[in-house]
Amino acid sequence: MRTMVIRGALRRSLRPALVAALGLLIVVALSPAAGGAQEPQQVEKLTIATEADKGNLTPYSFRPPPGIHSELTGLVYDTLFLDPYTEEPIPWLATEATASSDATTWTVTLRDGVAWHDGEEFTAEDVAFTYDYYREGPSNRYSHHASEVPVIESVEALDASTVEFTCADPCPTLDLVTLADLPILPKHIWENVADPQTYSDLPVGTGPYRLVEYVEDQSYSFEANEDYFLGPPAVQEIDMPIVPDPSSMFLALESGQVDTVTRNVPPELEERLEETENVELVEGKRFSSVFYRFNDERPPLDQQELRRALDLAIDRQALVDTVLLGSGRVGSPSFMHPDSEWYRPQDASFDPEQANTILEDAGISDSDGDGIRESDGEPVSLSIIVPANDPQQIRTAELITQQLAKIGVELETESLDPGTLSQRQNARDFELSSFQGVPHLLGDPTQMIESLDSLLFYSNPEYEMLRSEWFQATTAEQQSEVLSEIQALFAEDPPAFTLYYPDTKYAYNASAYEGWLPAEGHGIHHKWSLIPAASELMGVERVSQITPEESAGGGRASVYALVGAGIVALLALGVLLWRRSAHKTDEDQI
Amino acid sequence: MSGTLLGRIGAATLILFVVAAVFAPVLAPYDPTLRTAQPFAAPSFAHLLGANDVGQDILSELIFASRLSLTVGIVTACLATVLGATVGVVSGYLRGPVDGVLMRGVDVILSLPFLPLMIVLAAFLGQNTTNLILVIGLLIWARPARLIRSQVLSVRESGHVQAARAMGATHGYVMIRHILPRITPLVAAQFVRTANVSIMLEASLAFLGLSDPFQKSWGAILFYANARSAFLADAWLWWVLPPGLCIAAVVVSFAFLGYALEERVDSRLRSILPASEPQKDNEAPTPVGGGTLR
Repeated sequence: MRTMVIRGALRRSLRPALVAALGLLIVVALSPAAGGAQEPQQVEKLTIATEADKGNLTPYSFRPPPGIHSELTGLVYDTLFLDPYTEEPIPWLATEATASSDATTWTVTLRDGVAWHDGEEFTAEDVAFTYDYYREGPSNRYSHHASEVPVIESVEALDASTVEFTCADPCPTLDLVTLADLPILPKHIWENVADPQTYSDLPVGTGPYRLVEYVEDQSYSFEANEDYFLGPPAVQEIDMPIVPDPSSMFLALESGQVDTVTRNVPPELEERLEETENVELVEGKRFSSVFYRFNDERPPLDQQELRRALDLAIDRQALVDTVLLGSGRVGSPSFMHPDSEWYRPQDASFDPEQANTILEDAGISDSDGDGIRESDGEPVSLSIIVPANDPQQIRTAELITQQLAKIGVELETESLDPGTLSQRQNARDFELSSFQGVPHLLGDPTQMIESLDSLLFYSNPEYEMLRSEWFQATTAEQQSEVLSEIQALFAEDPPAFTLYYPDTKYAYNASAYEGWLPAEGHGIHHKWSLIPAASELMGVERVSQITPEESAGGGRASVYALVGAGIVALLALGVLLWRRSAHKTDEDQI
Repeated sequence: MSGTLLGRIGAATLILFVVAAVFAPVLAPYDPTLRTAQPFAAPSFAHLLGANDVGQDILSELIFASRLSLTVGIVTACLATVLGATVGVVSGYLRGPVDGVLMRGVDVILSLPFLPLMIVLAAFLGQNTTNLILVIGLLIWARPARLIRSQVLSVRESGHVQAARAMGATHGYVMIRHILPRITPLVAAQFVRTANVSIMLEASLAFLGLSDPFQKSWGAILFYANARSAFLADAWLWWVLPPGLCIAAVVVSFAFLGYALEERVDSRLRSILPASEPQKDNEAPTPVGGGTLR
């Protein structure tokens, strides 16, 4: 009897609690949705600080250090498909692409009524011209995507809006990767360009923005292309000062002088920026990594055992904890970015004991007792070149020097200015070289094959076989399978030592613009953040739709409230149900 | 008198830094190359100035860094002063075509833009301390040479030098026995000044990230502090200010010392003046000669 009374009291008191908790749950759950349903934001002008000069933004103007060159050229130029890092090909300048049954011939239908910035009509001739130009003209970052992987044999304009691509081998991912990567140039301008490397006019494209002013090493100014085929962009004008110094850049963001910065937020500044009024942080999902290339032509690095031992001796978790303050993931032998569709997980092992054993077995031992092993009588003293302007990479080299000392290998660091660095990297004039992985390297399967050949100089007999299998694959699935097998080879014989994948958080002033769109692989600074229709096409939410509190981590209270209310509601519901069933059994007994 | 007081303060401070540099392994609480704290740790009793971006103790870094700054300062100053004094004495004493050639060389070096040239050379030659010392030394000897030459020009006309030469002393003998002792205070002052300049140049290059990145120097500490946003955070208090103050303290104490030395040179100069009266005697007949010409 006494328990009955207590239960009854419980039930009475629980009912209002349940109602209140459910109400709270609904209110909290709905409030962000209400914010997300708004119309695309229209903004007069944005000021975006960028970290490096990328030339006059043609496909040929790339210069080191790696940065957002392709995102910036993407403001001016368009590609046939949206982006190489999407799961499915999403039509952009093209409306459709169909492959022949053996996947060697592709027929691509183009969008009608697209105009170049100068008013000329965009036609199939432009597409055919562009691909021929990339294939046969001077090389740039895009050219090998038409001439090597895959080898495009011919591009023909069948009529004003149809183009036919013929590949030398099957090219099942042409629409997904190649056509989504290469920017289309206007034939009427580029057919008169003799040397694209020194071409210095402002670029003319079909893109959502016109570059109206470029002052070398100082700034870019963009104006919206009101006649853009997907409708006018959300931001009328973009001012882009070039600010190489990170401190000045983030100071400008804090003081409201700029609305966002293209450099990702260094981990040590996260807390401070989160506390700054109006400034929000969002994970941009950019593909980024730091890896060490090695030169296996030079002894002693020509010995696979030594390379394997170095790989085993690197404590990647310590690098992530110390250099990135935990904001990142440890590097994987797979080389590609863990968020890429093409990545197959491989764990890097850290085992200095085994590294020592491998070296002893290979006869690389310390015979004169100075703490440094000798190989063929020469002490194993390696040199590494790192960029002088990147303290994280310098610190990484410093830590790795200490880690390798533990297996008796000496590492000497040379820090070089970015120009000299890339010169020596291109000439393969190094033993080890610190390298920053860019989206193009870490998310694009055709680039992976290309890189193994020409950047990483990967030689492995099994790889040679898999490489020809890749070129014979007639479906994307088959290519993906071959790529998994290639990545499986890397576990024992990596083409490079991937050290870590840093998180890429970006900061923006939420009171200026909230249309930023974290696109897989790219971060938030690209044309899709500025094109109202892009969010739906890509199926990606803008930062205004992801609740700003949540993305910034500042509004944890609302998350707690949500979780708390949920728990209370569940508990109350559970007690009620239990009470009801208990009541029933009581009645049954009677 | 205040000059000597300043000189004493300068000397005392410098001695303090030299002691810190020599006994760095004893004085520093930690090995500055090891990670002994959390990265970006704020000051605590264990780490009085906190830790840098990889968890190295900043106080220990500061103490060890005094070694590099002082070495670069003193070695470079030796190099530049020896070079500058030699050129100055030879040029001022021999005059004529030798003087012309040497001084045009000095003009060229004086007209070079310092820091940009240093940056180019540092990038070209690679970053080790020996190169750094050579490059700075080869760039800053010109000013002392010019100053010493002008002093030599007046000393060589003084009575005892003229007398020695009249008695048939060789050029080398006169330069070493009679000229050099007279200009020693000036050389000492120039030594201090060049030490000052080279410490500043070393710090600037390291701050720009152009020196060996693993070498502990005050400029390098500032480079990492700047690159890892310490200027934006509270960390400037224990990460930026201390190396800045160290550089300032060393430079100021060198300057005090130089000031005191120059004042002594000045008083010597005053005592030299009566001895160089022959110059005035030479001048005096000129109107007469001029009159005859007229």
